[in-house]
Amino acid sequence: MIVSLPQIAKLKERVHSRHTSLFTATLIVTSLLLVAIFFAAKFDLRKGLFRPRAAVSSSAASMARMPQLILWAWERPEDLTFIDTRTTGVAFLAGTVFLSEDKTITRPRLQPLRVPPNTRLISVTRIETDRRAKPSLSVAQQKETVRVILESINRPGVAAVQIDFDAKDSEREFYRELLFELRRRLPSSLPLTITTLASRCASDEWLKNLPIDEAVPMIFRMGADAQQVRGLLASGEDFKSPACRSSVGISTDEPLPSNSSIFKNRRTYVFNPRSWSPEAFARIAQEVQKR
Amino acid sequence: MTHKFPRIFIAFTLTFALLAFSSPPAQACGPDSLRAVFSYSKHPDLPLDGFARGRLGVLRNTYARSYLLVAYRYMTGAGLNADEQRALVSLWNERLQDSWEREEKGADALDLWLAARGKVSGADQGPQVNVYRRKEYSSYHNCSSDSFAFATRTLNERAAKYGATDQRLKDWVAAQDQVFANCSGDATIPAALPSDADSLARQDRNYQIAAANFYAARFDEAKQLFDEIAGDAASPYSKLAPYLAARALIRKASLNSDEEGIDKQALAQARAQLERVLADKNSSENHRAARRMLNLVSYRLDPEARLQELSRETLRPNSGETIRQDVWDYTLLLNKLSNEDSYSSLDERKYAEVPKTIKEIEVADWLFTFQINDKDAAAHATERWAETRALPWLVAALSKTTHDDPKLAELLAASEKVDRASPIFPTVVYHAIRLLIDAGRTDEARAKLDRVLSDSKQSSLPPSAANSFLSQRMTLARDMREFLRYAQRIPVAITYDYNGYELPEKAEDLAKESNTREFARARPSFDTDAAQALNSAMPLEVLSQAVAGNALPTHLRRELALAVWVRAALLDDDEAGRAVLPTLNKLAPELREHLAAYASADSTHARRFAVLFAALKNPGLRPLVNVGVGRLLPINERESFRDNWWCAFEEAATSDDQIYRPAAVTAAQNRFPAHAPLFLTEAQRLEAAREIASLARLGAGPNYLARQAALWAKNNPNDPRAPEALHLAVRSTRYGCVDKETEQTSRAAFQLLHSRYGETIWAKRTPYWFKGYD
Repeated sequence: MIVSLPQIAKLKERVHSRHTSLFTATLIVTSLLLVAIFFAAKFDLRKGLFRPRAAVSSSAASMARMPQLILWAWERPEDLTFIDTRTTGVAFLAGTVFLSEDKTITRPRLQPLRVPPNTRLISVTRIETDRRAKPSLSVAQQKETVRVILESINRPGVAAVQIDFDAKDSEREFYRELLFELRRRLPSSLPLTITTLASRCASDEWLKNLPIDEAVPMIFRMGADAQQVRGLLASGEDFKSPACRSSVGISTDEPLPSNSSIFKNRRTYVFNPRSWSPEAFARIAQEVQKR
Repeated sequence: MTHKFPRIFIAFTLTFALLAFSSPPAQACGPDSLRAVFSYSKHPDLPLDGFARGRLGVLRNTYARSYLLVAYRYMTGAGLNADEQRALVSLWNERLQDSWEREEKGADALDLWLAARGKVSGADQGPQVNVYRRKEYSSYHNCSSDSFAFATRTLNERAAKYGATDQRLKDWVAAQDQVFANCSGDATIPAALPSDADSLARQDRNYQIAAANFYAARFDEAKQLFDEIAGDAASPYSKLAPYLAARALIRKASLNSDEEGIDKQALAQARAQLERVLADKNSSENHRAARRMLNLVSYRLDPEARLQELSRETLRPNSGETIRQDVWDYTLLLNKLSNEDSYSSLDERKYAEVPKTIKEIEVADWLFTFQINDKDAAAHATERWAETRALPWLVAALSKTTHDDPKLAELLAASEKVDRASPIFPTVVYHAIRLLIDAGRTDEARAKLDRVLSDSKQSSLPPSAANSFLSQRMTLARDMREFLRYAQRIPVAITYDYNGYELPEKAEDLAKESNTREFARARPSFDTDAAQALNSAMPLEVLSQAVAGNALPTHLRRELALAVWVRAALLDDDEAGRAVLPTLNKLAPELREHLAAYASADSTHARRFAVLFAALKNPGLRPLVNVGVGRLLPINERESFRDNWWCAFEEAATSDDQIYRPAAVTAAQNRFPAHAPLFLTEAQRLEAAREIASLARLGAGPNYLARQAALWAKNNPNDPRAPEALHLAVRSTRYGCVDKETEQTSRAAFQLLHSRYGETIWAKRTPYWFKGYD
């Protein structure tokens, strides 16, 4: 087959054009790959680390199976043998971690807790920071706190973990790192939840991208934020943060939010400043049910 | 095209990458809530030595029972000697201590042990010791500070005897590590030493084995081993061992108690064992500890009998240091028997629900009657006083009765007979004065108060009591000058109140921060009652006259002047506004420009706008005086927790608001104070009510500011302040009190700003309007 010069020139042009197209295609694919990696990995340049996406799917499924009513059992003698475990779970304070300067001081729960067999339990660890001798928020403190939390779940019936920490702005990065480390070390099917100030749910971007299955907005003891949060709820608005929309936290000694939609299809956690009694439980369960 | 495309794509990817790498915006966080306490409610004034010495001040029924018990002792003549005072002050200080401080102190003994064992030549780091042992879902404090202190002492003695490098010492340390491993872990029992080993080493080892069993919760084994040690007269532990055998039985009973009840058999055995220890004169060094344990056993085995016993013991004069443990046990037992934990709040307690066993004991009955706020408690107090004429019942009856009680005259007559030197006199006279005020007998009340306040300069009343009397005297003021004299009080504490015990922050800590520095030294401020009266019971005319005088210190005079200036603008009262200008020119130089604009304004509306423009630029301005510490920021700084401008006057008060927003004095109190100053004329009271109603109609501060800014801009479109005012007004709806009107007012200001002033920098700086809740 004879190929003429013009044909060769055309061939060359076609080859050149193909090379160019190949190059362009490679560039496009590489770019797309980079974008895909970003979305998949949610990297954080500040730490120069690539973090795996939190394994939330199996834990989210586990969380969905938790009862819709959860009683907080705080550092008081609690006898909750009266509850119906099909409808009610218990989030018990397992221990408290206190961070002060370089120290990590821990105190386990010291008051007895009695629950019926098959109770779905959430092991709660509270973290407090010394307001006067500010903690250094070191890696060592993070590690020790994670260790304490992991130890706390080794109890029969524990079906989820909850962290209760009113972190200040300066403490958020520490908290965030802690949550990621904890999520990494927890069994993938064990849910990880946190409590949060209700006002954080109204506007806070910080809750986004945390490896948690739930953030429980505490609509009590709101202090300076009370007016803002009550106003939001009274106006029919919902919390901005999606993490805050699957549950709500209330207390037996404060009025419930007037907006009843905040309870619909949401898990309700209830705090009691005193030890629970069947009567106190019946009262609050009825109130929640009404809504 | 094919060449441009990859460049566009590269540009997109790189831009995206840059955006993705950027940090999220930092978010502001408000300060912790500092507040002023004018009278302690949880405990007497600090330091507590004064109370222990009988300086009781005005006794509050919200004090813990351990304080009320001491008051009872003073009322019945028992008082406290120096040892008892020291013992109880130590108890109170421990109870008020932050629980983490206690935890840290406990850790000190462990640290000392670890340091001591670390010095033993060749001894490695040793295992980590966790002092808590888990039991089901909770833990208990298994290894106490005493355990570590004892081990440290023994180690030092053996090191002195054997030498630091002796193998016997190292073996001892290794075995002790095993002992302490049982504090939290699975049973690890040291091996017994052979019979030909050094006798002291064997005795030490036998003790360690017994201790290991104790900590491993093997109490029957521990008991038996301690009994064997007790039988070995040569053992250095033979005298201690019987006591420890009892401890093993008590620990067994504690951990075995369940829903079936306590393990009475183990406790009964422990009791017998402890009685033997107490009977052994050769074991006197263990008697004190044994007595404490015996009290604990009695507490558990027969709480009602123990209650009777403690009711006597805690009132016994000259009981020395034992009073500490007795009061501790007594108050815990009262809590337990009265089921205190079952109440959601202490106000729910009812006298009818107090158990008979408590009511049958005079002092216990008095404690609960004094504390409980219901009608039954009040009736019972008066009844007991009528029956006994005893001082404690007089105090209880006086504290609960009302001015329409049929027995009022008798009670007041009885109160007159209480000696002025009596520790309880301030409490008695406080309530007598309260009743006289409520009964409208103001001249009598005033005369009594003036005498108390005059005497107090010599007798030095505790500051909480002094403030209580100043509060009463304020309500009886005959004119504004007198009112202001008693309205200003020095707080007893400036506190963040982290643990709920109203403990004051240290002056040096307050001095470190710029926004709390001014509270490092004592200076007067307004308590809620004074602020209420100023904010909602007095007409502008009276307030502006008060500014002119010199009855207030500079900082409070400035505060009042600012409040009057803003209020006058809201009410279009030019006269009142002008009246405070000289004061503001002197005391608020940072507002110079705004004051000048106000002074030169040629109409009421213009003057109003001048003030509102100043308010928009100074979020701390409001038509109210602040309570306590007020806002912690200068008036031109915005506060992150929305304590900016003012809230609508008709909002309902909540406890949260009062604690966390002390500067925003809330509504129900604002409008209808319990005690409006007596010196106001009827016309002045009516004028005050009219003014408050007008202010209430204006709604929340930001809404009002936004409406006024829009109105001014519409009527004065060329005023250069107009666009800035609109911008600030929209922003105020983000950072101040909001309500259902906020969305509308914020949007209206926003739209006006953009439609009329769209090219200005103010419009560009206002990309959003706010619904009020985001």
